Amino acid sequence: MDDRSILIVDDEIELAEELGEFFVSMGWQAKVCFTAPAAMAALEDGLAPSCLLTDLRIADHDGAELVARVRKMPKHLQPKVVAIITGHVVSETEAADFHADFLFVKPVDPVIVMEGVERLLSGAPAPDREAMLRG
Amino acid sequence: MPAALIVTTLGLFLATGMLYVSQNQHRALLSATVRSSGWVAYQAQLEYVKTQSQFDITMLRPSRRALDELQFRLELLRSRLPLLYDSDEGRLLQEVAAQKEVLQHYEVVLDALIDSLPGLSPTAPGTLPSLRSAFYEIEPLGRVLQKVLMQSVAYNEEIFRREREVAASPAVVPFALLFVSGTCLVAILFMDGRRDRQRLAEVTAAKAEVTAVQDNLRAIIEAMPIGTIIVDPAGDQVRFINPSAAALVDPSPEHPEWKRLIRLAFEAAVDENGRRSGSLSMAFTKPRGEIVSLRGAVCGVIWEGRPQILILLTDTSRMRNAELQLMQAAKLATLGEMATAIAHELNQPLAVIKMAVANARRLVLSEADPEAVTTKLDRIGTQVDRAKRITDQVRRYARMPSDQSGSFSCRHAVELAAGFVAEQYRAAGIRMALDMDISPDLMLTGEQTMFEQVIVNLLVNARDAYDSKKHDTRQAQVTVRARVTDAEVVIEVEDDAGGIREDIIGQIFDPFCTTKSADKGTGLGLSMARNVVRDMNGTIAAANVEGGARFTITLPVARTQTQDVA
Repeated sequence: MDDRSILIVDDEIELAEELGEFFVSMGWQAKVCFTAPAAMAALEDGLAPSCLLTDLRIADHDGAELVARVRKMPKHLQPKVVAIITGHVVSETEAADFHADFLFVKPVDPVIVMEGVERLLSGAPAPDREAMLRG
Repeated sequence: MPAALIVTTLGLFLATGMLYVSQNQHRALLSATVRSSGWVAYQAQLEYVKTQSQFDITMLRPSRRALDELQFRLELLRSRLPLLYDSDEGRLLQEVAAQKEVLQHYEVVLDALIDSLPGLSPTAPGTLPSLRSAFYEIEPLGRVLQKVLMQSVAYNEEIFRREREVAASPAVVPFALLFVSGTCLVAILFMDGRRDRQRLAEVTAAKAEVTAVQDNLRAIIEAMPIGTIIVDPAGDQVRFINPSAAALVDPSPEHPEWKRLIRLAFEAAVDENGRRSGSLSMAFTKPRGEIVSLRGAVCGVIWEGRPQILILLTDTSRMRNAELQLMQAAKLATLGEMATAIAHELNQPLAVIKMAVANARRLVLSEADPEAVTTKLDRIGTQVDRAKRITDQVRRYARMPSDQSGSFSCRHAVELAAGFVAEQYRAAGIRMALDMDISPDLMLTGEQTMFEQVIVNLLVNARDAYDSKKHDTRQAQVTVRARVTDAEVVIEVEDDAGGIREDIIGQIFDPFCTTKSADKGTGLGLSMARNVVRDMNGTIAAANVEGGARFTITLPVARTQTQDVA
């Protein structure tokens, strides 16, 4: 995939669909998975998106665990940007523990998500975490 | 005992009288006999004297006629002698018995004389000497007869003397006996009367004591802050009310609202056998509209000598309100604890709405197909409804519990409670399994939100049990089971978090008994759960099962809708 490809993982089907639709409308290549195993399978099949956006808790699985497994994949298969989106109220300290580039709190504006990811992909510094936590 | 004494006394009295009469008769007989014996002795002595006179006449002027007269006298004298010792009268005299042989000797002598007299000639020279000889031969007989006569005279004189003594002195002994008998009778009657008086006094005192006790009891009942109502089971008529009970309805037992209160109390206190008996807890709307919580009991009682029904009622509204407020505080505490999970749950539809709004705006700006925009708006509407359900659930849970009982579906209530904590369980990675083998029509009686709170409490406790033991939540599972047995529904909440400590399992339902830290639990959840279940006439129990704890709630089934229709 090119630099504007994204894998969206969320068991909230409507949310995942809306996110995927938004990114596609913005010229991105987007793939939507509703379960962690499906996402992992896609990655292992060589999907190699530039960005992984995953819910923190996906049905019976942990989004953080998915991130951890992605981090262990070969470098060329790993997404350049990893973002977590969660409905939980989390503090800044907790966000730092997930080893992700972003941690967005629902309900987050998709424009903010996309701009953050694009800025990081272009080599610019990531936006401050406070802004992300506020959504 | 008094009757026996009276009968004995009367018996003695009769015996004394009969003895007196018998003695008098015997004495009269004896007197007659003694007098008869005197007559026998006198007749014998008289005949002897006449015979001696005839001897004198015959020896002075011998003749045939004189000899014949002498023979006649001798025969009479001879006939008198056996009468002396062969008769009862003769034998009465001691001298007769002593002289019996002498008398019999003279009988032989007289017989010989009688036989010899016809052979004597008045003119023969030997006749006179023979007569003189015979005269002297029987002379000793005259002395014997004289002695017998004198003894008879002495006997008669003695009898005469005694009779005079008796006549002079009245019958002392019988009178004495009569006096004693009469005295005994009077004594018995007096003692009996005294005992009767004592008994009467005792009965009177006991009656006065019973009256005093009844007055005291009535005064205590009148002063008691517990409403006391006595109901006649025939027609359920109010027979007595104390002021505390009157404050619930009206001071007049005739007030029609009493019927409603009594009916509600009987319905609330019906035991498992259908009898109007046992404890009760109920809400009652006073005639002026005020709703009060009442607790008490119904039982049978003897009142004014008849079996009646006693209803005791205490207005527990203040305590009940405090209890409800405490429950509300506990609910709000749980709600606060669940705020994070609720926020997460609410964020899900909000996130969808946010995304859908962004996409809709883009579609509108690009003048896309209106149908695509409409689809987005429908999705937003659906998510708003989803968010509303969550807020409704929170509002429902946060509502102040009321004291009004009603029928509700057991299955629906358990599912609502389980749904309320589902997100927490999902967040904690604990699987919740619902094994509900009951119909949605199975109804319970009580306050539904309070019952839901009980289930929520048990589910929250189970979740906390995993937290406290740092359990591997990947394997964690809490099972909620429901099944019907006879006329009861059994609901079990079972976890596999290691169980309850054995040293506190006996006090687990006591207030302030908790294993949680102060910021996680008040220690009142299970205590209130027990109160709620008790008010629904059910029971709740805790036990350790393999690998975890099991809480079992048993509740009576109200009725099913199907039964209602039938």
